[in-house]
This record gives sequence, C-alpha cells and structure tokens, in this order.
Amino acid sequence: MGLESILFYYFAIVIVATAALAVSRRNPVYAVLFLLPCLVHIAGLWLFLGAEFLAAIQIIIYTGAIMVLYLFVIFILDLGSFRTKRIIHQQKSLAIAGGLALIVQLVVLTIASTFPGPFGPPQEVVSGGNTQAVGGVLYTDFLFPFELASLVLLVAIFGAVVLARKESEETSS
Amino acid sequence: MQESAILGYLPILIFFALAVAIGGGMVVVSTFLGRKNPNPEKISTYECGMVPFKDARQRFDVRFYLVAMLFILFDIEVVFLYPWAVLFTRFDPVIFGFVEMLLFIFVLLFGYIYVLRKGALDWS
Amino acid sequence: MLNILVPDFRVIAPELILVGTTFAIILWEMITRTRRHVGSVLLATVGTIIALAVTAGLSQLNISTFGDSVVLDPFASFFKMIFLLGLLLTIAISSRYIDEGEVREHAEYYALLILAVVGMMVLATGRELVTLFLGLELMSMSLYILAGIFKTDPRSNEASMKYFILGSFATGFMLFGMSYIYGMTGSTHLRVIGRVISENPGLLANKGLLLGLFMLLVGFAFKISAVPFHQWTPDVYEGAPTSVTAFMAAGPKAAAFAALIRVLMEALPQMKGDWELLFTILAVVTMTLANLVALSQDSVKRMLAYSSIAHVGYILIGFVASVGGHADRAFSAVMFYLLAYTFMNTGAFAILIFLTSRGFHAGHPWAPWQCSFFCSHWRGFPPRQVSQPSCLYSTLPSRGSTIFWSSSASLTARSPRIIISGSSSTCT
Repeated sequence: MGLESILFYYFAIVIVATAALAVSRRNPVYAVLFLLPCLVHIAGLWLFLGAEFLAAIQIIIYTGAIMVLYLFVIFILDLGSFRTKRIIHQQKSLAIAGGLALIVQLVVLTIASTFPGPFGPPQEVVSGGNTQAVGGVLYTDFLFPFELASLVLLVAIFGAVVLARKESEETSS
Repeated sequence: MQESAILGYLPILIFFALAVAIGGGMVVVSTFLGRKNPNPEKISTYECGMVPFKDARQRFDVRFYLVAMLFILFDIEVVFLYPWAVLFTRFDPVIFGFVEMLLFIFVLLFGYIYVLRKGALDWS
Repeated sequence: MLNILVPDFRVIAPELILVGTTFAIILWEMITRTRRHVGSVLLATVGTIIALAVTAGLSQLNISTFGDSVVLDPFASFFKMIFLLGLLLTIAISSRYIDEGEVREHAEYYALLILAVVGMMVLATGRELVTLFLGLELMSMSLYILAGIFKTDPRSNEASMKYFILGSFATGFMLFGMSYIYGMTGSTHLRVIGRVISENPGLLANKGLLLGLFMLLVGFAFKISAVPFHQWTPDVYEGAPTSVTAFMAAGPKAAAFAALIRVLMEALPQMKGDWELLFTILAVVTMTLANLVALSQDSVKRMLAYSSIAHVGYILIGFVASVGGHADRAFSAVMFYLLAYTFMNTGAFAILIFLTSRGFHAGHPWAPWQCSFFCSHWRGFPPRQVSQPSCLYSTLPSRGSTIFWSSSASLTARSPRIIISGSSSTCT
C-alpha cells in the first residue's frame, strides 16, 4: 500500500466517521462542529482528482460560509427546549431498516460495477490548471446552466428576504 | 499524472503534521510538567471582568441569519467570477465573454438592489 | 481559444420573456412600494400571455442551441403551453386569495410563480443533465418559498420546511444518480449518453449504470410524488396556500414528467427492460395505495392531494406502455392526460378557494355544478380513455402481463373513487 492509498483511506475514513458523528449527536452544535472536519476532508478528496479549484471552493464556501450559516441557524433556534427531546419517535426501526437496505444495495452495486475511468474536460481546454479547465467548460459548453445559476441565486435572495423579514418586523413593532 | 496529483501536496501535509505536533505537544507537555494549584477563583470562566449573569444560549436575532444567507449567495457569485477572470483574454470574441458575465452580474445586482430597497440590511 | 457561439434565442424566447416579466414586477413594486396587487397581477398576466403567444408561434420549430443543451421541439412547446396555461389559471385564482391571506410580499409571490415556470420550461427543454438539474432547482426553490408564503400560519411554515428538507434529500439522490451516469458514459448530454450506451452494449451489464438509473428515478419519483416517495405530498398540499397547492399539483409534476420522458427516451432507451419493471411496480402501488388512503381523509385538501398521487399512477401506466414499441403513442397519451389534469385540477382547487370563502349554501348557484364538473376528472371525464387504453391494448400482445397488471390495478383502484365522486355530485 503506497502513501497515496494510505492518504486516501485516511480522508475516506475521517469523512465517514465525522459524518456519522454529525448525524448521531443529540446536540446540534456538536453535530455542526463534526461537519467541519468532514467538509475539510472532502476538499482533500478533490485534490486526489487534481481539482484544486474545487478544493479551494469547498473550503471557501462550505467550511467558510455555509458553516457560519449553520451555526447562525442553530443560534436562532431555541436550543434549551429541544436538546432534551427525542426527534424521531416510532419510525426509528423502519428508518434503520430502510437505510441499511439502501446502504447494502449501494455497496453491492458499486462493488459489482466497473468504472471506465476518469473523464477530464476536453484536452483543448486544459492548458494550465484546474481553474482554467473548470472555467473553460463553464463559460462555453455550460453557458446556459451558468446563467441559470444566477436565477437560482436570485430566487434564494427573494426567499431569504421574504421568509426571514417577518420576525424582524414583529420584534421591532 | 492524475494518480500522483495528491503527492504534490506532500509538503503541505508535512506542514500540517508539524503544526499539529507542535501545537498538541505544547498542550501535552504543559499538562505533564506544569504546576497546578487550582482555586475556585482561578478556574472560573472569566477570572477578571464581568461576572456571568445569564445563560449564553439565548436566541439570536433572525437578521443574523439573513446576513449570513446573503453573504453565501454573493460569495458564490464571486466564486463564479474567479475562473472567468483567469480565462478572460482567451474568450474568442472577448466581448461575448464580457457580456455573459455582465448578464450574470446584472441578475445578482438586481437581487442586491432588491435587498437594499427592502431594508433587509437595516439594523435599527 | 474558447469559442463562444451566439445562441439561438428563439429556443429560450418564452423563458426570457418570463424572466423579464419577473424583473418588471419586482421593479414596479420597488418603485411604487404599493400594497395593492393590481400592478403585479397585470404585469404577470400580460407577460404570461405574451410568452404563451410566442410559444404558440414557435411551436412548429425543432431546433437546439447552447451546444445541444437546450432544445425547442413540439414536445417542449406542448409542455411549455401546459405550464403557461397553469400559470395563467393560478394567477387568476390567486389575487383575491393572496390578498385575503394578508401576504405583503405580493410582488415576490408572482415573481416566484413565474420563476418556477421558467424552471419548469428548462426541465421540458433541457437536453443535458446539468441544465435539467438547475431547472429542477429553480422550480423547487421557488415552490419551497411559495409553500411558506403565509408566514403567520404555522401549517404553511411546516409545509415549506417539510417540502424543503425532503426535496433537498431527493435532489441529493438525483445528483448521485446523475454522477453515476456521467461516470459510466463520460457525458452529461442526453443524446451523447444514449449514443455511448448503444455503442458499448457492455455498459448495460454494468451495475453502475443501473445504480445511476435507479437513483435518478428516486429523485424523479419524489418530484412527481409516486407512492413510496409520496409522504410529503399530503402535508405540503394541506399546509401550503391553496392557490400554491393548485399550482404545485399541476405544472411541476408535468415538468418532472417531461424531463423524465426526455431522459428515458434520449439517454436511456437501451435500458427499457430495467425501467419497465420499476414503472410497473410504481404505477400499481401508486394507484392502489393513493386511492385507498384517499378514502379515509377528513380534509378536502388532503383528499385532493391523494387524488393527485393517484393520477400520477395512471400517468405512469403510459411509461409502462411505451416499452411495447409505440412509445410516441404512449407518451402522447401521457401528454394529453397532463393537459387535462392541469386544467381540471386547478379548477378543483379554484372551487375549493371559492367555497372556503363563501360556502356551498351562500355561494353562487353554479358552484356545485362546477365542483362536480372538475371532480369528474376522477371518473376520467376528459375522454383520455380514448387515447390511453387504445395505446395500451395495441401493445398488449408483446407486453401482456405487465400491462394487464397495471391496467387492471387502474380499474380496480378507480372504482371506489367513482363511487365517492358520484355520491358527492349527487349530494350537491
């Protein structure tokens, strides 16, 4: 086993373990804090694919902005009342059975499948790093999805303002 | 080439390992070697300054959430700008590359003006 | 050099008109700061009608642009017209209702309705997985917000929250499936995927592709609320404002069906054997369960929600029938069904809005008649049997057993509903 495999298994195990911990913690703040190493290590997996740009984005957006948002959401919730309650009531066994069936299916099918290998962006695009490769397809072949993304962000802006503005008005009045 | 991409980051990995070793080492060493004579005043949360008077786990104003949400949205916008700036001179009719980003920014600028106009960032 | 080609704007003309309308509505509200709805309603109606006219004018074209990632063909035009019709009906039933619900963000309400329709149009025209995904997100995000637009009503908040969490989960499944399909074929363009699969028959035996199909179908089954993935539907339909429910029950489902048909026919037609079985199971389970559960509901909105789930089951029969070699006839039956369903379902919810504010007794003398007219679609009033069973029976020899199962389930599942709707119309 080379250094590379060791590194890969390190990243993979940390991701799975912290994700499991994040799901299983009763206290939401702990859950979010376990998500942090999970997201950082996913950036490590991007590096395995030579996707430096995506790794950087992963750190900037997820571990930077989205973690802050998660923490704010938790601060907005009234945690004192909800830490003691069990959220899932009777459906726990059903959920565990369904989840296990899904995991078994995913693992079995993934092991049984053969992957043709990584498909990079077209060769004429790649001259320089991953950033150029991403941009090279994003602003030419995927121009339409790119412009659509701006509309999705606009909807998110509307949503944030429409849904979050109510309480601020109530508290002020 | 694909396979060895990660090995280029070996120096950074070693750097991380050193950082953890030094930082963690200091804590470990001081736990073993340091002198400990605790008293109630010393182990209180704030040894000097204000006396804590209330549970810190209170609800925050929802406006924090709004600001964080808007921050993410415009953060993502900036992320889209970065590879575009790197590639700018290589777009074939450069003006098209310019226009496509102009459209993208226009939509989000509209969103920004909307946010300002709605007073979502007012803090009074 | 990165060549950027000028796109053919005819392909996305209605979308551009609708986006322009959205900007106009928000801008109008920002400038006037009025609390009256008239401006928004007027702008939305005018924009929708223009988009409808443009769509009708371009409906004979068959062109694609943006590197074959968006396509305008009669199939897409038909769906676009369904969405615009649904939008027009929704705008018509909304203005009074939203005003009475004291929604101050009326401009955003109409803007989000229109942006959701833009997302649906992208779903009907997209010929590329990333485009389809973004169209789906645009549609879903708008709907999440619209479901919660009655901000003082806790059930509306719950509907929005539930829809958002479960919807994002389904989106995750769908993305997972898409990444597997990309990983197997090396492309996100539907037709390239189809070509790669037909050129490499070995891929069909590859379990990764099956897994991709499976996960993709989970995502779609959620969006159309087929039975094992329907749990969100009654709660969301009940909690959301009724005008939004009327909108949600028609257009977004039609859009998900459009995208599903395109993905299956253009990218994965070689996997017919796999998806035929899945759709047979989905159709039978959906029809049976939804109709039975609908009987025990005590809220009209919940019952209508289960009714819409049952309709999904009937529509899925078309997918099973398409395998037999008459795919075009099966899918044209599906499309006709969706058109009739959009009209009848929005009508049923419109009557519901009318009755909740007036009541049967004090209401208009025509209301009960209209109610039984719109409810008659449960009995299959628009003569879709004419189109659908004929296409079913034409495929009978080759696909006897599965068709038999799904169509007999359809008949048995429909019978209690016929009794119910029959008795409801005699009561009135």
